[in-house]
Amino acid sequence: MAEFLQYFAGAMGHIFNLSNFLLMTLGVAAGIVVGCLPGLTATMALAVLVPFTFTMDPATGLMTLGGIYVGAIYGGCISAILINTPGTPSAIATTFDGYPLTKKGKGEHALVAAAYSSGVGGVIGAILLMFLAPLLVKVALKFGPPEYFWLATFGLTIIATLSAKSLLKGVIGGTLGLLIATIGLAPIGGEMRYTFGFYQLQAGIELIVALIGFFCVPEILSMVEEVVTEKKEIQKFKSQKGVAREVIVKLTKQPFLLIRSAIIGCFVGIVPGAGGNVAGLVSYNEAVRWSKEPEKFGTGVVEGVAASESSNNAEVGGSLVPLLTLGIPGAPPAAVLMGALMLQGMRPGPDLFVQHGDITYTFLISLVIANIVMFVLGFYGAKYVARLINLPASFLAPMIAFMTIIGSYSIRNNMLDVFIMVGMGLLGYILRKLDFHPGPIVLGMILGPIAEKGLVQSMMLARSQGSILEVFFTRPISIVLIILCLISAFWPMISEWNKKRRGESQGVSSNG
Amino acid sequence: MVNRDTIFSVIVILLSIGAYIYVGDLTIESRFFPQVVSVLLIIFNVIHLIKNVRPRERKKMFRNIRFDRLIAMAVGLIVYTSAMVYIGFVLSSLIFMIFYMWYLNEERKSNGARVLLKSAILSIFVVGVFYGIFHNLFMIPLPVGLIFGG
Repeated sequence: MAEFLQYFAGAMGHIFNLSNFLLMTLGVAAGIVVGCLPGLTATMALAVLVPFTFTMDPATGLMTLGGIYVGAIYGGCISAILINTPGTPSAIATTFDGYPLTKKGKGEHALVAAAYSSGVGGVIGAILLMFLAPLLVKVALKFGPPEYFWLATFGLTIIATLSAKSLLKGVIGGTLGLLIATIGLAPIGGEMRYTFGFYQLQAGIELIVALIGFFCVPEILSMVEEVVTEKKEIQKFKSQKGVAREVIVKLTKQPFLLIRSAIIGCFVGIVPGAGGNVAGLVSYNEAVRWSKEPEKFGTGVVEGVAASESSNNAEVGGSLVPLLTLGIPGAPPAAVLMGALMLQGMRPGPDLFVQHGDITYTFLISLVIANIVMFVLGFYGAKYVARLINLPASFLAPMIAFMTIIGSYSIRNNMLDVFIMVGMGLLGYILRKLDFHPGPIVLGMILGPIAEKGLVQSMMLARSQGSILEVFFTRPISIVLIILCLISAFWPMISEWNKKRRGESQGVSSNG
Repeated sequence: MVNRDTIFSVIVILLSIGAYIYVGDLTIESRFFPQVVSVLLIIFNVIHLIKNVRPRERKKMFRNIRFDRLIAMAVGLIVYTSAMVYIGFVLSSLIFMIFYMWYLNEERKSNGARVLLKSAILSIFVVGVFYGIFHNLFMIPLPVGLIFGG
């Protein structure tokens, strides 16, 4: 708390500096626009727009990126509500009640509920981030090499479990990411690996380049592989006086709904691999379970929209908790933020709060403000942004391709980065067709250096102490992490066994 | 039965063996981790292979898609980036954008000239704006191209 107060005044100075505030607002607006276009994800919004922040100072760049992230997650609800197609996967649960509301002629009710609950959820998520992150930092500061090794292993097991259709494919993807991460200078040995004579590869593959490739190029190719000739009909509605007030009052009278959804969203976000879509679905499910009129959900109620939107925007804050404290992104968009932080010379992890406290707290507080800005822009601008929903692929695909090229080039003014980006993009597309998700690969790339440094340093420690067992398996934090690794690795089998048992007992009771 | 998963696993196993051997001459600190990862990749892919030995329903990798457009875009990206080295950022971007905005627009079949004009105007505008921002505002020197003395 003391650190927070120490940096608060400086952070407010940064945030309310006119140019910083305008850039953050522009970021939110750009995020909303990209987020509302079906098929374009928040990760893609960040990956395509991140090059615009390279030349900004770190605080301004991070504020702008935070704005894009917040805006893109919200933007997904606009097309979910108006054409029944979520703009981003995070808005899947918003379609359940958003579109039925629109069909009833209550599109404005849905859009107001989405903007309000997104704003409230986002602010709660950002506040939770501000308080949870410093707590976790205190634990992370006690980490030594063995703990970092186990942490990376835990991250990989949980990611493989959560983010792929098949556990084995998730594990293979993560391991492939680990191998890609070994390209370049060995962190401890200092020798070159897999550079094939290209000096540009000495520093390894730039994370942002890989992210642009894996998350943007497959989208471009998916966009062109089908011909959409008919435009989706955007349901029209007339603005009515008093609707905004009515919806806001109705939702404010149910604080438990918004707060519960935001807390669910935030905690789902903390778990690496579980994104906004999981957050929205879980909290929608809980909203139905706790409601006095559960049968009305799905027929068009503002509570359904609010549960999903409050949760997926709170997930933004949650996904940044492990990123800022441990250097492990909670979701793919947070991975792009990680790349941006590293480009600014800031390594995510506990040191971020110690060495760059002023910038880190500015970013955290700016997320609260960005959510308020997002509410205002969403409240007044959603119906205008909706006009962009039918932008044709013939315009979008070449435009995004062009932006990925200029973006990957401008990171290091290096053509090899552009070739790597295109190569990884084409590989990403083929892997997607083989049911491999890019998430585990990218997170393997992020966790690789942490795991390698932790493993090799621990081995050296073990050599000097004469006991591998003592170094790897007896330290208290390591034991906790090992248990977490085992639980997450065996979780699919445990849940399968549980399902079977439940099925059997239900079978027995129905027979009996 | 040879299916797409089998081919993938065989390729990754071969790559992993190559990766294992490539770092063989380095010190233990530099080679240990990549070799461990290579071995893990081999193990996981062998399991993947074994799982795919049993014949099962074949799922087509490219189903109900416009293959011509997909290949055109994939090749286009490779040609675009390669051409940038020789003819520079502005020219290669303009050619890429104009061609693909025209090619991907199905209206071109009935109204080709109009679509081409529209694509050209949009492309010149987009490339011009981005060039201005990156070159003049961000001071990033974009590739000029070997032909033009870059």
